[in-house]
Order: sequence, then structure tokens, then C-alpha cells
Amino acid sequence: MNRKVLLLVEDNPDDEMLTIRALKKHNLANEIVVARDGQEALDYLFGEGEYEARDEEELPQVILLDLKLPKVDGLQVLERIRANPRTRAVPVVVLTSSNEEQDIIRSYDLGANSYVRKPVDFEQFVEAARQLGLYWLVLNEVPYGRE
Amino acid sequence: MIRNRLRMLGWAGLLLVVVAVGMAAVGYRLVGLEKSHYDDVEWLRNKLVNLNVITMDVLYDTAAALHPRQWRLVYESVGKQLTALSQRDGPKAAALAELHRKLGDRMSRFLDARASCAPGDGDPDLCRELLARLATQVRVVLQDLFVETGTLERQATLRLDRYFYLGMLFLFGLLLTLVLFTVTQLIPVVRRLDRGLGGLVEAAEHFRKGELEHRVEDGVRDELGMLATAFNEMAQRRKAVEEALRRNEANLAEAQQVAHVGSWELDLVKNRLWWSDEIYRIFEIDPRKFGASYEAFLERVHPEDREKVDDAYRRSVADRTSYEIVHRLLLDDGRVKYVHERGRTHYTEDGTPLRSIGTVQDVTDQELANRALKESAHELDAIIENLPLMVFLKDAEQLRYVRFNRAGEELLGISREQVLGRTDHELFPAEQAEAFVREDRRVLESGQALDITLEPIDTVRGRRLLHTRKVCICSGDGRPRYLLGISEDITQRVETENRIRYRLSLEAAMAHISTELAQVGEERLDAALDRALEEIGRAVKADRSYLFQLDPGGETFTNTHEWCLPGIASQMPEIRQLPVAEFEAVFRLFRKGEILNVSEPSELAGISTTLRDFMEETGIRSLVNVPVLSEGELLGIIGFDAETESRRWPEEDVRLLRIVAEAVAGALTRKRATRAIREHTWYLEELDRVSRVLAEHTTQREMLWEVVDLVFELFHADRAWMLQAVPDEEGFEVPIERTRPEYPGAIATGLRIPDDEFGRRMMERLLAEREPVVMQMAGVEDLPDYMKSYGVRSQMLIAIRPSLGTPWILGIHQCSREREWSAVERRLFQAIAERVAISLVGVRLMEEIRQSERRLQEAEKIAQVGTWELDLKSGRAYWSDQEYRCLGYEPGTCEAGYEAFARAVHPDDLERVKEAMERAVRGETEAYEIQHRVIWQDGSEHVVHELGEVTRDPRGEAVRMIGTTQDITRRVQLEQELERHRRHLEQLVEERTRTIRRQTQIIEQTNDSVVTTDLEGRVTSWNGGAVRVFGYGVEEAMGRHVGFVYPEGSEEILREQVMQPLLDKGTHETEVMLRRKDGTLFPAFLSLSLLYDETGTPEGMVGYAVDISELKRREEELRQLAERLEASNRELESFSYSVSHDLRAPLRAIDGFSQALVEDYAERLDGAALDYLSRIRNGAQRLGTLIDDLLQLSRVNRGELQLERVDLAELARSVIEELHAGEPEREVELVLGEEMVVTGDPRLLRAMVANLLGNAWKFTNREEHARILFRRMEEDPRVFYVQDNGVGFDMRHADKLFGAFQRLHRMSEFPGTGVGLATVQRIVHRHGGRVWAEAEPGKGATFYFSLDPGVEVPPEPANEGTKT
Repeated sequence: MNRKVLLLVEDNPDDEMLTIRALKKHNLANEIVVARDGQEALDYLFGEGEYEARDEEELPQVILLDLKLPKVDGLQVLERIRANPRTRAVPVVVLTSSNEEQDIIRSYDLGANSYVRKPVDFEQFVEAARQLGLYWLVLNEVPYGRE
Repeated sequence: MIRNRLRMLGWAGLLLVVVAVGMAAVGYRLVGLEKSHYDDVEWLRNKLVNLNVITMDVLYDTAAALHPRQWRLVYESVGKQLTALSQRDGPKAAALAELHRKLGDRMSRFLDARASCAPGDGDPDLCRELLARLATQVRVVLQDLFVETGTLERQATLRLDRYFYLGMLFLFGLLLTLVLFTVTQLIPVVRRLDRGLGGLVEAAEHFRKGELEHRVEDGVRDELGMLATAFNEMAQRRKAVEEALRRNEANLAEAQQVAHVGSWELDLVKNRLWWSDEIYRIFEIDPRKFGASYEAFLERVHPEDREKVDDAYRRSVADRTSYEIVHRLLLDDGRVKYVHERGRTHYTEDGTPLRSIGTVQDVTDQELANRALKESAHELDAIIENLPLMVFLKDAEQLRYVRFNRAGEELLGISREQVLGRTDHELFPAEQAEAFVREDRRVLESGQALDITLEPIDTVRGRRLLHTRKVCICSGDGRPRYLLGISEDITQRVETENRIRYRLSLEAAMAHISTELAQVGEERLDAALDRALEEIGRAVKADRSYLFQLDPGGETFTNTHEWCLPGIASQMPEIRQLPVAEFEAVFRLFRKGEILNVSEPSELAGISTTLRDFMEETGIRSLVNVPVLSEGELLGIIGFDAETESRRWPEEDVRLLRIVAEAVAGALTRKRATRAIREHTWYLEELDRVSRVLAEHTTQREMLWEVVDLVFELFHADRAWMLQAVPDEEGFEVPIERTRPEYPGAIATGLRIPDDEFGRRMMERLLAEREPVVMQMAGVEDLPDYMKSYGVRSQMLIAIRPSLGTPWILGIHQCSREREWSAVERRLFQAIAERVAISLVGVRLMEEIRQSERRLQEAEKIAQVGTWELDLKSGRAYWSDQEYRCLGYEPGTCEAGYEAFARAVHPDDLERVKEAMERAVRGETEAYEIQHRVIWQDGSEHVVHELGEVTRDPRGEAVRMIGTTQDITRRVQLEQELERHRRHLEQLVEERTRTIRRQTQIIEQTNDSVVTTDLEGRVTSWNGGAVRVFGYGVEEAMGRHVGFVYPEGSEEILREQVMQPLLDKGTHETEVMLRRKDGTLFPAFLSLSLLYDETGTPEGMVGYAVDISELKRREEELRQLAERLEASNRELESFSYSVSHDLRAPLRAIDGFSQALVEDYAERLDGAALDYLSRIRNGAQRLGTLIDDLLQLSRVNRGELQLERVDLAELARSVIEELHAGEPEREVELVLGEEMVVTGDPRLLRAMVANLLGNAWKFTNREEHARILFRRMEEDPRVFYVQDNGVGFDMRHADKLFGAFQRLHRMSEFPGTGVGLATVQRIVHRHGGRVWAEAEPGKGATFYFSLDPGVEVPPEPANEGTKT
């Protein structure tokens, strides 16, 4: 596994910072790419717009997707991801700020893999990753002898 | 030091020699030592050789033959040699000793070995061999020793040579050092000597020249240095002496200058004058221009003094006396200076004057000061002399006057010649003089000034008061020398002050009196007057002060108030009701407002002899009287007098007295006014009482009795009575009388007073007078006996003259005392008599009226006719008794009048009665006549017939009505009976017709159209509703085919949807569009049925049409409302969606960053900061929970219920599992009931169960054995309950339980948002159920809820109770 990229789609800078902090703190993912809105996330995934130069074959290991996003909202992003055969298999973990049922139901309908409470609750995230079989994909190996 | 240096050099040389000698000796010794050593070695070698020889000999020659004893000898010899060797000191001694020991050892072994062989027959070979071996060994040892001694010898030789060379070298070095040292030490010494001596020589040369500043260098501490220092000091001291000399000279000059003293010397032989600089300065002469000589000096002396000076000098020279003079100098610029010259002349032995020496001092300043002093002393004298204060000076010893100024002369009235040189004792009376001397001594002894502010002194001009200040004047040595006294005559001032003080006190007294008199009430007036008199008497120092008041009537006067100085007799008892006329002359003055100020009775000669006589009689010497006047009326006199001395009171006193008189006048006037008001009030009040008594009583007798009682009481009479003024045959009857028990013997009631002469006369007099007649019986001469027997002392009588009937006499007797009745009492008495007279007439008339009334009433009663009279203005009426009865009242039980009448009239008839009455009043009808019903007090109904007529005043205005009322009830009753029978019959007929009419009417009246047709569809009836609905009139519709109410082109509809189904089924209902006459269409509900005839054959149709356009409109409205509601729901939903996201975002940041702080910076934060952060996080999380709960609450209301079968037990288990996961350490027992399946929205029911169990879980957290029950109630299986054994709550707050945000526990105890139970309630309500709770603090809580039983499903197989 040469690159372990985690795509975080989040528009709230506070949440972004807290999420990245939580992930880093627990050695999750080598690289976190942040998209501040839905359009940017899609651009990243499909190598469009400012990410035109990117090799779109290289897909993130997991996408953390907030639902409330400017421009293109999270559900639409999810829809697009699942609609594209190339990205269909990328695990998407939806970030939720509430237990608003309709969001949960719609997300699952659209193929979200899991739900994590915002800002990323480490325990919950690990559980989600575990369930998705992603754990070793996203978790940095802890070097031996690092006492 | 140089000497020291040389000495040191010598010593050093000597030391060097000694050292050299010592070293030579040591060297020699060393050489000797080495030599002996060398000898020793030589000896040693010899010994060794010797030893070796012995050994060799022994070994090689004799060994074999030797006997052990011989061996021993050899051994001992060798041993001796060896011992000798070893005893020598030396390096090898030890080695030799060792050798000795080894040899001895070998030898003894050898001997032993030999001995073991047979003695004597020793094996020579063996011996030889042994010996050879031994010899070899000895030789080896000896060879070693040789070698060694050889070495030693070499060494000794070498050392000897070295010592020799060293000694030579050392000696040479020593010599060299000595020479070098001497040279180096001697050169500087010589150089220094040369330089030092040169300096000294040079300094001596300078010194000789007088250049004392020069100094010799004296840095080095040696003989030359010391010499130089001594030289320097010498030069220094010399210089100091010279400077001191110079300074003295300068000082002298300066002293002369400061003291303005110059010195001079005149050589009489050569006539040469020498002046000091100061003299030049004093004479202001330039020394360069002046050739000092005696003549030149004289030139400078003031021309006027020149001769005097010259003379004095010459005389002094001649007389051999010292010369001293003060004279003036005249300077070039015309200024004058005073100089004081002193001088003495020296003579030769033969007496020839040689020279004069003297001083000149500039004394201009002193001289001028002296002159000024003299002048100022003169001025001071003038001042003292002209001072208006007495100034005197006494000598300190004898206190004789030494100075006395003019003011003193004037004050004491004696000339200074009489005073000076005398003492106080010679001038003043002894006592006073003593006092003065005492003061003087005190001042002189203490040295302090004495201020005597008030000092009386008797002079020839009478007693004066002085203010004296005495001061001690001391001489230069501090001893008292004089006593200075300055006295001011303050007699006048003190007198003025006293007068002013007296005046002030007087005025204060007056002010006090005036104020008090102006304010005092009547009851305290006398006391105030007494006080005022006392104050004024004391203030003016009178013997007596008094107030005379004129008695009522003004003819006499009485002393009403008086104050006397103790010891002065009162005059009050004598001055009582003295006639004014006797003192008319003075009273005339008083009335004019004048004052009587008499200092001697004789002054009254021309004014009033009466008063003069009175004064002389009573011993009054002088008096002041002031009138007390009020608005020009003399009320009295106020005054004071003196018996002890003749006095004339000053005008001020009199003026003050006048002020007091005014105040007294005011007070008296006020008192009179008050009394008048009181009397008048009394008069009015009492008259009012009498009037009331008169008005209250209707019969004459009662009235008169009451009046007499009242009069008796009012006048405090001893007897009051009335009698008729007309006597009968027996005399005057006294019908009414009231007496005091003490005077019973008076006129007894019913007694007759004889109609005699006295009585008649009295009667005549009384009837003639309008006013009361007062009689003092004592003055009546021909008093009849019977009168005497009544014991009357005074009486007041008045005639009562009614305008109708006989006159009466009213009288009161006073038996206890003689009495005068005051004016007001007389006025009241008269007023009473007048009132009684009027009342008597009234009573009389009343009685007559009453009688005629009684007669009328009788008549009315018989005819059952009541009469009435109504005053139209007031509404009041007069009713006869029968009238009352006619109207149903007991006679007199109510106030007659229109009101009572109207009350009695039957309400239904009242309007009619009123109208009739008004018509009559307006004159529209001739008379008032009406028959109407009345309702009696007992409720019975009666009929009356009224007849009345209107009385009008001259202007034609209706004033009153008079009429009769007749009860005709009985007659009317009979009439009504007849009427009722008739009515009954009529009613029966009417009812029949009405029922028939009603049905048609209903149809006619209904708003819906009801139309009948024949089987063809032609209209046979068309009701009102149809007219209204369709707009066609009955005529228009009748006979037409019903198609005309259908829209055009709907024939088919009519036929197929209306007619055909009706004909088929018999009845039909449908909705169709119908048409009105105006062409508009409307939706209608149509209900049709067939009509049959008696045989059951259809004969027509009846149609019933309802306009349902309104209904349709309502439906549309409802639909819109539902849409709006839907929209607002959607909006609400999107709002709460936003809330759930956007409200949470900042919270996340707060919580997340707080946590980040805690995790990343924990080591930099202290406990408090961490605590704050944890509180921030708690708060944020709490708010998050609150938002969740609120959203849940709002969600409950949203959306449709998704009804499913839900197992509450299952839900409960999963909820408890979650709760347990949150707090795994807690052990809570959950007991679930059976058959817990219900129908409901699973989402909501889960929320409900979660909240209820969550609460139970939360509130049991302090229980060790927490237990939660969730099951159905046994009594009512529709009800579920959740029961816990937690803290519970107080039922008093149960009403708050289900309100949002209501909490019953503190956040610190049990956290929560207060929304949970509100949510529960909503959910239950949405499920058509009910929720309630029961609890008790500390005993747990139970929450009951029911869900709509209609949606319950049949129970499933039993569920087991579960334990968690």
C-alpha cells in the first residue's frame, strides 16, 4: 500500500480541524485530503477542475463525507460516487451531526457504508472502519519499538 | 643613612672573611675525613690478605692432620679476624658479619661431619675435600671483599681531588663578590652626598635673599634629607610669622575703619602730623594732596568749632591733661560730621611737650541718634500729656507718683502738683488705696501686666468706673523701676450698657407678655394676665401692677388682676365695682387714649381730686395708668404704682405699658367675642331643641309638658310652669309644672292661683309686654302670701300669645338664690314663648282636621270606596284608609303616593293606567276613569274602578288629582267566568283548523324546495322554498314540466339519472346541477320519491332539492387549509433540520476544541483550567443533548403514525442494554410483564420507552438494588406502568412533570434536559392514550400510560420476566 489517502469532505473549518486532529492523533491515514464543498470533492475524485492534473485512478481509501455542504450537498456527492462505476466501491462514511433519521435513511439508500458522528469520534470511526474491513487500510502501522 | 650604609658595608666584609675562614676549616676537615677513610680501607685490605693467608694455610697445609680441637682454634682465629672486620664501621660490615655467620655455620657442620666419622681416624680425603670446598667458599668471599675494598679505595682517592678544586673555586668566587659589592654600594652613596649638599647650599643662598618660598628637596630619609626638612620648616615658620604681622596691621586698619576711629601723632618739635588712613577717610581728604599739619587739621574743623577745638587742645597741652572733645567737621560739599577726639601729650623730663598722640572717632551717627532720641522723648511726653486716658507712673520702691498726666487731673479732679510725690494712701480712702497698692505690688513682683476691667474709684467728682492697665517697667538689669498705669474712664459706657440691658430685658418681657396674651386661650387668660402684670411690675420695678376692668354696663369698674411686691398690700378687695362717675375726669382722659403718669399725688390737683385723695388715702406715691382700649371702647385700665418712693417712670416704660395694654385689650376683646359666640351657639342649639320638641308632639298637652321640662332644664330653674292666662271661676289653673325635689311646696299641678289683684296686675303686665318680665321677689312690696310660700327669690315670666285660642303664661322660678338672667337667656326665653305660641295654633288646627278625617273614613268604609288626592308636583298623595285597602295595603303601612299606587297596579295594566292619567292631566279627557287590576300584598288579584278629576291652578296647570277607587273584583270575577266558557269553545274549533294548517305551513316555510308533479312531470305544487331557491313564483311554475329548472340540454340527464331510477326504485337520491330563473346554475342534492293514492297506485312524484353550493365551498376551503398546514409542517421540518445541523456546529467546535485543549495541553494547564474545560465540555454536551431531545419532541408531532405491532418488552430490553452499556458498573434489575405487544409507531414507542426507562435508570443510581418494573396493570390491562425504586419526587410538583423544560431535581444531582417526559406525553397522546405518575420522595416513582385500546392487538404467547 503505497499511499493511504483519506478524503475528508467538510465545509466547517472547526469540524475539519477537529476531525483531522482526531485522525492524526490516532495515526489514521497517512494523508488526508480535504474538500471544502461537494463540487471540490467530486473534482478530486474525478480529476476535474483544479484537480485535472491528478491521476484519478488513485482513489482514496475511504471518504469521510459531511452531508451539509455548499454547492453540491453530501447526498448528491454520494449519489455521484455510487453512480460512477470506478468510484462505486470506495467506502463512504457519512459524517453526521445529528441523528436526523431522514439523513440516515437517505444516506443508506444511496449506499453510504457507515455513519460516524461529527467531529470524527475516534472510537466510532474505528468501529466503522472495522466493519468495513478498512481498518488496516487506513490505520498507520505503529513502528515496532516505539515506546 | 649614608653612615649606616657604610657601617653595613664594613659588617658585610667582616662576615665574608668569617665565612671564608669557616669554609676553609670545613674543607680541611672534609679532606681529613676522606683521608682516614682511605686509611681504613688500607687496613681492611691488610686484614683480608691476612685472613686469606690463614685460611689458605689451614686448608692446604694442616687440614688433614688437624684434630677437631685444632679445627676449633682455626675457626676461632678466623672468627676473631672476621669479628674484627665486622666490628669496623663500613659498608661491608654486614656482609662480613654474614660471612662470619656462614663460615661459622659451615665450620660447625664440617666439625659435626667430622665428628660423625671416627674421631681421630678421619678420612683425610674426605676432610681434604671438605676443607677444599670450604676454602674455595672462603676464597670466593674474600675475593668479593677484595674487589669491594678496591672500589672503596678508588672512590676515596677521587673524592679527595674534587674537594681540593672545589675549595679553590669557592675562594676565588668569594673574593670577586666582595670586590663587586663594595664597588656597587659605594658609588650611589657618593653621588647622593654630592647632590644633597648642592641643594642645601642653593637653598641657603635663596633664604639669604629673602625668598622664603624656596624649598629644599627632602624626599629621602637620611641625614641630608633631615637637614633639608629642618631647613624647610625654618623657612616656613619664618614665613608664617611675617604673614601674621602683616595680618595684624591689616586688622588694625580695618578695625579703625569699622570703628571709624583713626589715630594720629603730632610731633610738637618738628610740627609734623601723622594720620592713620582712617583719619584721612573720616576727614574725606586725599592723603596724596594733604600735607598733614595741625593747621591743615584746623582748616577742616567746622568754623564754628574751630576756636573751641584749638583752645581745648592748647589747654590740654598746657595743663598736661588729656585732651577730649566732640566737634564738627565741615566737608567740602558742605556736609557736617561729628567727631570725637581724644589725645594725650608726652613730655620730656624737663617738661617740654614732645609729641601728642590721639584718636579721632566719627560719631556722626551716635550724635544724630542722640538728638533724635531727645526729640522723640519730647514727643512722647506730649502724647502722654494729651492722651484722654489717665496715665501715671509710680516709683517701684515707695509707689509715689512720679508722673501724672492732664487726663488724670481731669479724671480725679486734682492737680498734678497735689499728686506728684504722694502715695495712694495720701490721695484715696484707706480701703481703696490698699487695693491699689495690692495691685501695684502684684504687677511689680510678677512683672506681668494687669488688666483691671472695672475699678471703682471715688473722686471729688463722685464715683467713677475705670478700666485700668498696670504694667511694670524695668531697668536694664531687669529690676522693676516704675509702675505704669493707664486708666480709662468707662463710667459713662457702663451706665449706658446697663441702661441698654435693662431696656432689652424690659422689651423681652413685653414681647413675651404680648405673645402670650395674643395666643392664650380664654380659659388661661386670667393666669396669663397675672403673669403679665408680674412681669411688667418686676420689669419697671414697681411695687404693684394691676388691671381694672369696666364692669358690664360700663358704669363701674373692678380690679380684676393684680400683682404686688412682697410686703405691699393688695388693693383688690377695695376696688370692686367703684363707680366710674367718681373718677370721671381721669376716665375721660383714658377714653381719649391718654396716659396718666403721676409722680406725686399733688400733680393731680388740677385733674382729679378724687384720685388724688385716693392716692393719699392708700399711700400711693406715684403711678402710671394706661387705658385698655379696643376699637375706641374703654375696656379697662392697666397700670403700676409705687408706694415706697416718688418716681417718674421714663417714657419707654410707659410706652411698653401701652403695648401691654394693647395686648390685653386684644385678649379681652377676643374673650368677649368668644363668649358672645358661645352664647349665641347655646341660644341656637337650645332653640333648636325646643323646636324639635314642638314639632315632634302632635297633642297640645304632650307638647307643653315637654316644653316645660326643657325650659326647666335649660335655665337650671328650680321650677318651671305654665298656666292659662284666662282664669275660670276658681282662678288660674296651672296645668303643667316641673320642680326640683327640694322645692316641692310650690305650685302643685292642678292647683289654682286665686284670681286676685296681684295676679290680675301681673297678668296685665305680662300680656302687655313682649319681652320676658324678670322679678326679684325681694323688691316686691305687696307680695301675696301664697307667693311667699313658694319661696321664690327670682322669677322670669312671659306670655304666650297664640293667634288662635287663649294665651298662656310661661314662668320659671329660682328659689335657691336670687338670679339675674343674661340677655341671651332672656332672648331664648322669649323665642321659646313665640315658638310655643305658633305650635299651639298648629296643634289646634291638626286636631280639628283629624276629626273631620275620621268622619270621612267611616263613610268610605261602608261604600268600599277609597278616596285619594295626588299632588302632581311632588308625587305625594293622601289616601283614605279605604283607599289603602282597595290597593291591598293595611292603612298607614306605606307612604301614600304614586309610587305605592304603581306598585299595587297589575304590571300588565300599569301602562294603561299611566296613559289614562296623563291624558286626564293633559286635559284630553274630561275625567280620569279606568278599570284595572291590582295585586294585593297577599298576592291576590283584584279589580278596581277609579274615577278622578284634575284640579288646575289659575293658569290652567294641573296641580293635583282627586278621586275615588272602588273595588269591583267580585263583579269582574263573574264576568270573567262567562268569558272563559265562551273562549273554551272557540279554542276547540281553532285547534282543529291549526293542525291542518301546520303541515302545509312547514312545507311552505322550509328553505329547501319541495315540489310535487304528476307522473308526467308537471308541477302540481311549488312551495315557498322552491320560490326562493329557483326564483320562479308559484303561478309561473304550476303546470309546467320540471325540465325548466334543469340547465339547457340536460334532458337526457333528467330522464336517465333522475326519472328513470325513481320510477324503477320508488325513491332516488342524486347530485345534479340545477338552474335558477336568472340562469345561474348551482349544485343541488336531489331526493325524490313517488306519491301514491289510497289504492297504492303512483299518482305523482315529490322532489326535494337542497342547494349544496355552500357545502362545496366549505369543502374547498378545508382542502386549502390542509394544504397550508402541510406546507407549514414542511417548513417546520426543514427548520428543525437546520437546527439539528447548524445549532450543533458551534457546539461541536466548543466541545471538540475544549477536548483538544485537554488532550494536547493538559500538562500546561492547571487543575482549575482543566476543570473549566471539563465544565465547558459538559455544557456543550448538555446543550447537544437538549437539542436532540427537543428535536425528538418536535418529531413526535410530525408525520403520520406508522402503525405496526410492537413488542414493548423487546424495546425495553434493548433500551436497558444500551443504558447498561453506558454504565456497565451498575446492576439494575428489570422486571418485564407479559403480553406487552401493542400497536403503535415503533419509532415513537421506542423513544417513549427509552425516556421512561432512562428516567428510571437515572433516578435509581443511588440504589444499591435498583429495580425497574415494566408491565401491565392487573386491574386494567390497558394501562402499562414503569416503576422504579429510585429517589421519587414530591407529588406537589406532579403538575410540572410533563411540561417541557420542567425539572424536579437539581442538575448536579440528576442531569437532564426536562424534555423527556414532555416527549413521552406527546407520544402517548398521539397514540390516543393518557400518561400520569405517582411518586413519593425516596420511595420511587411509577409512570402509568395507556395507549388507544382500539389499536391494540391480541396478545402473543407469554413473555418471561427478564433480569438484567
